[in-house]
Amino acid sequence: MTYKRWTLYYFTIPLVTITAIFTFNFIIDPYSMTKYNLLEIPNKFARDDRVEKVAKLKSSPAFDNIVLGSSRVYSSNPLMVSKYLGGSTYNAGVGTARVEDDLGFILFLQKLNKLPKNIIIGLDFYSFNEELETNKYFLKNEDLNFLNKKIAKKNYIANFLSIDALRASYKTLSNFIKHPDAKPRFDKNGASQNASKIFNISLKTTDPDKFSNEELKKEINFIKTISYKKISKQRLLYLQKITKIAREHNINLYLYLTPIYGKLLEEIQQDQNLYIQLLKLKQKIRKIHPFYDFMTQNSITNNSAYFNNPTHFTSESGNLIYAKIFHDKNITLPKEFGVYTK
Amino acid sequence: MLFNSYEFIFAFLPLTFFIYFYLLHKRLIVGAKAFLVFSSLFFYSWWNIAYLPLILSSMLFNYALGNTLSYDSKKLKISKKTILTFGIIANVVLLGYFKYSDFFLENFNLLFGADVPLLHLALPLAISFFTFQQIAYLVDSYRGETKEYDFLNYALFVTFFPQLIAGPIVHHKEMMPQFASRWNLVKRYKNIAAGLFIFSIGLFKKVVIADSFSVWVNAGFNASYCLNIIEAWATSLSYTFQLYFDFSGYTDMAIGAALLFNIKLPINFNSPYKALDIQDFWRRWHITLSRFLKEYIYIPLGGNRKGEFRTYTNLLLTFLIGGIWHGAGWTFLLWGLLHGLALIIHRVWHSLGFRLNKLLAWFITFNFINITWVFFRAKDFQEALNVLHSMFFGELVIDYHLREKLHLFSDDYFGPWLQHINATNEIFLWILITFTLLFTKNSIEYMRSFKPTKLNLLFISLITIYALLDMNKVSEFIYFNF
Repeated sequence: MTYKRWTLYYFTIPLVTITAIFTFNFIIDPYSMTKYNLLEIPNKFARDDRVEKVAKLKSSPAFDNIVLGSSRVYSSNPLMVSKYLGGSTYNAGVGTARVEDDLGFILFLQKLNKLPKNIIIGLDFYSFNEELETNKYFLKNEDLNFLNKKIAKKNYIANFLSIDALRASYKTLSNFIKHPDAKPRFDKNGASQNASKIFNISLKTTDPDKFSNEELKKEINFIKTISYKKISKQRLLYLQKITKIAREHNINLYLYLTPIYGKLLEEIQQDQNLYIQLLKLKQKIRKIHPFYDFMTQNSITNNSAYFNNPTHFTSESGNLIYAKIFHDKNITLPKEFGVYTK
Repeated sequence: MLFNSYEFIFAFLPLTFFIYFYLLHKRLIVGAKAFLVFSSLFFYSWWNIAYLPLILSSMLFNYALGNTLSYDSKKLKISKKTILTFGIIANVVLLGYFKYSDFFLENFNLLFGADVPLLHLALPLAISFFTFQQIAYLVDSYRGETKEYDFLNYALFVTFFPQLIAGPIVHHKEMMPQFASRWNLVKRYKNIAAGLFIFSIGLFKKVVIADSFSVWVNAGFNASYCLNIIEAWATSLSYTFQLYFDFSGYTDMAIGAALLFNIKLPINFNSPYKALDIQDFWRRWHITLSRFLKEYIYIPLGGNRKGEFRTYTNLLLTFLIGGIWHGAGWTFLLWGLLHGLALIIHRVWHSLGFRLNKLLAWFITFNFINITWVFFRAKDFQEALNVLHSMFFGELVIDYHLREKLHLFSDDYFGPWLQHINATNEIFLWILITFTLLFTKNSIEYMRSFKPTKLNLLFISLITIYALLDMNKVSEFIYFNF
């Protein structure tokens, strides 16, 4: 083979392959990046919550209420918010969200002229840790990343030209072939499919201790080894910015500190440093905006039945949280569950 | 612009290549070279155009000074030595101002309890590299070792985009004749094929191997306070491999891109982790930096010509300068000091006629390098000491599945297995594969023996496709910071 021929083939093989992959990904469009759905696939398999939710917010008319937060939040039922506040609700909670994600979503909605009337944000104690880095999927998302646009720009092409995109396309297509009627991971309101079906707001009487010692110890060990030296000033500034936007646009802002399982909270309370950080955080949030504090000991947080795992509450608990925030008179909740702090 | 970016691979590189050779085809040689300088400056300005005037003025200043130094001494009113001293000081001051101001002020404040505000200057890209290259040019002009070249060739020598940002640190003697040579003005498919071959390998090294390790490195150093022994070793080894594959990947891409234009850049790596002693390592690692340090610092200091004590002092000084060149921080200085000391110990050991078993020699050398890289990577001493402490005294953790199989401590919880470095068991496979790769032929050896075959075409096409699909991660080259 001559050098010239080798060079020509070298250009041809990758070019043809890459073009084929790009075309395949473009047709399947697993992240719903384009307006076209050429194969009319109802259930797009997106591996990235942020991409999927951003695409949905782009393509839908403005929602009246937006729920923001981490994976703890996306298992809560947005229809319950609609029940209390009226109008339409979208749960824009995304995995491992920090406050910059919340602000990113709000700035993005502002740019789209789709700011809602009400914003409900579930804040996590861990996410204010200064040492905790910004989520990489946030950084890669050009619509959300307000910190460094240059980093985010790259990712649009990656939605069609990456190994992740290829895997997602393949999975989407094979899912579609096997289960053409399957529903998407998140429903039209952004909640996980199960969450949207749960409307009950009753208290549980049983107290099953469903977490194994191993599971609990793992979480406890993780809590004890995390370095929570400082609360991130930057994230508090982001929270301030959120309240400013809410004020300027007459948006009702509801903040709450997400609950964790009582035994885990007990460990935090026994660790002097972590407990100080928790108290400090509550004080600092209070100064910025009133909030409902669910990170407390009470009969609900002490009942493992209200948790999927020690740090993630169930959809039923989500309903109780909304019942507390929106003052549902049909249920009497423990005083310490969602302490209004201002 | 990054070599591992879509804009470079799909737009900048092909456009520059085709326009350059089109201009040459039309016999517009000066125009083609000017275009290449313009493209290189565009490439440089892609990050931050604010520093374009800096590189341009540095280039004009050094060219003018270099030309003056090549004049006959009798025609000059000031002595050549004074001009050279002025030139070196000016270059070092420029580098020092941007790179070391805050380091100096921080230590000044600490020492004297002062509160002088820091300047927080952004380090102009490539300043360490183009400053070194131009100091070498001035010294050689003073020594009468430079020929007279026009400014266009000089500008090309400094700015030529493949080597501009992070080397290899080229010498005017090896570059300017190539730019001036008429033999290099036509397309050569042999060079193009070899260039594409080595560029693809470099891209794969960077995008697939180095960037995979970087995830574990970042997570490990961020969680340095709580690593167990397995995580700590995985972190340090990951960094050792990341640094090599990142930098040698970059260099391969630089060599490949330059070869497309018929320019042969010097090699920078020759399987450094195969080294059997520390001197051997420095002959294989960042070869062009070692060459610069030797020719322009170690030898002018007296080298090994002034007795043993001076030789050791010169070695130590050279490595301290090498350390601080990499970054303004005490950790870099300590890293340089450790390597300087190791070289002194090696010389003493060697002069006493001691020899080690090859395997043991490799093991000691590799581990010394691995351990000292921890200081190189850590943001401060505390972080470095945390990782090192965990490497030697960390908690021993056994994988859950392994524990179950061995029926060990089944009721006891032994802490997280690889949780703090965001890893799964695949990390061990990566480390194992990488160790294996280190002992095969290196990319430059493959390039030298490159012949176009169906097999290497298929291999290179596959790794290119994989790298292109994996290129969506956000990652700069480590040496861009230096």
